[in-house]
Amino acid sequence: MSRMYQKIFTFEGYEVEVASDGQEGLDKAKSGKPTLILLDIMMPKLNGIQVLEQLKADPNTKAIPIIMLTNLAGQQDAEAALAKGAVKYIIKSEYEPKQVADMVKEVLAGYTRNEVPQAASQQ
Amino acid sequence: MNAVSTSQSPTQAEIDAQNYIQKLKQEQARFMASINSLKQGFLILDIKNNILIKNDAIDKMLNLKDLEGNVLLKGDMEVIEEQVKESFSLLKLIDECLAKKDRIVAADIPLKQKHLSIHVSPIISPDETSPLGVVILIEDITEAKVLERSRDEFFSIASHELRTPLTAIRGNTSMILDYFADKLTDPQLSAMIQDIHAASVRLIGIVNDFLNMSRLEQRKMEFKKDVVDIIEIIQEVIKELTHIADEKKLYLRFIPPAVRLSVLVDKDRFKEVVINLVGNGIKFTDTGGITLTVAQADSKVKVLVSDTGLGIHLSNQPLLFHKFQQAGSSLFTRDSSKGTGLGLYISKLITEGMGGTIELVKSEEGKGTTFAISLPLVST
Repeated sequence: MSRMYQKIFTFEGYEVEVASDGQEGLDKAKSGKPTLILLDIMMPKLNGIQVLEQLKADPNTKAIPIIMLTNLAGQQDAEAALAKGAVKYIIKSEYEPKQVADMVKEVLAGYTRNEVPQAASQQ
Repeated sequence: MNAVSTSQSPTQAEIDAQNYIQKLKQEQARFMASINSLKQGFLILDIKNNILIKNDAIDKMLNLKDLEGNVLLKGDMEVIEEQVKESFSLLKLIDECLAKKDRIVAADIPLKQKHLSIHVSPIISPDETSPLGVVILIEDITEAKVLERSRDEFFSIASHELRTPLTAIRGNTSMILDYFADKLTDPQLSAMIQDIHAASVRLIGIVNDFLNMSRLEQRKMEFKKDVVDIIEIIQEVIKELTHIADEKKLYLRFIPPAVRLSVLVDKDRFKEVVINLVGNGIKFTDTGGITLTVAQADSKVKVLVSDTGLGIHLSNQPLLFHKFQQAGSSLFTRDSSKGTGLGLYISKLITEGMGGTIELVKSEEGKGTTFAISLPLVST
């Protein structure tokens, strides 16, 4: 599925780097210093929450905005990620790829925290 | 003639005593049969923690093999305490119970491979000021716990696993329609891809329904309650659903209350319930429309959702808020395009979870249906 998101961001004009497990993601983030990171939670080697914690603990990467992009849909999971410094928590299955791209654009433009999106209907 | 009779004829007192002893023995037999038939472990202790009565099940439960008999045995509690000390202290629980003079429950105590639930109750005789002892009931809840955990995990993992490929179907079809429209020269091709997309969205909805239902049923759903203005919520719902009503050329009206009314609810969840009712109204109405009314009735806020639709037959009305029921008499007679039949069930769980009620007010075939949600009014 990362191929699908890689495509949409490429179509929208971004340069995209992909990692297939948490450790690879952490390494690439540290060396590549991306503008924004989309982080899944259920991953091999290191899970998304662990990667989030390590990126926020490292002074070189802690300023990079991180958006959780996952199908894990518990209220507690979302709150935990936001409490650890994620800017947004997006439940993949609730949105079209284009909507995800739009949300990323908003974050890059404003770099603000938003409420956890539960479903397509949001205030 | 002095014949020495070895057995004198019994006096009335002796006959009474014999009868009384026999009755006691029968009582004891009944009592022991009862407690030995229990699958829970059962102990009666006196005030000095001596075991007066125990049943067969307690040996198995606490892995005790060397206790014998039901007679007053000093030191037996020490044997039991030794067995369980790595997890808990039974003597401490007993002390707590006697101090409180009331039943105490230790609901979930892990002991080696098991999970136990322990109830300690004081034995209080009306004539005495202090308790005579305690009754201890121990239940093995290991299997129930395992089932509960595996059910939790099942729904959590199943919904995640199902969502992953569904997201791929939804996302890829959506992207084909958005970015490759020029390659879809045949309108039939375009229509087929739209159908695939719509089906995947519906499937995702169904998976979400199942997950929410599971959480609600186990009371694991967290409600983030806030004081909200009910007029605001209804207006938001109308805004979201107007275009669907328009597609069927139905009206969507709101009759607001005379004053602002507030309720204490989880806003998103409450909206879900209203959306479910209005959505159902739209689904089952072909001409006319839906009217929402909000009014105060004593200390409650009532939200009425009325439609001019098909109505529900009297025989189907009792089943409305049950799982998987659509307003049809057979489980096989269903219109899959109209949902899984979980909407009202979930709405009921949510509403009741927030301290309110939901009910069918009236319905007439060919005329229409009215549902009502009732919530406690919050004075601001």
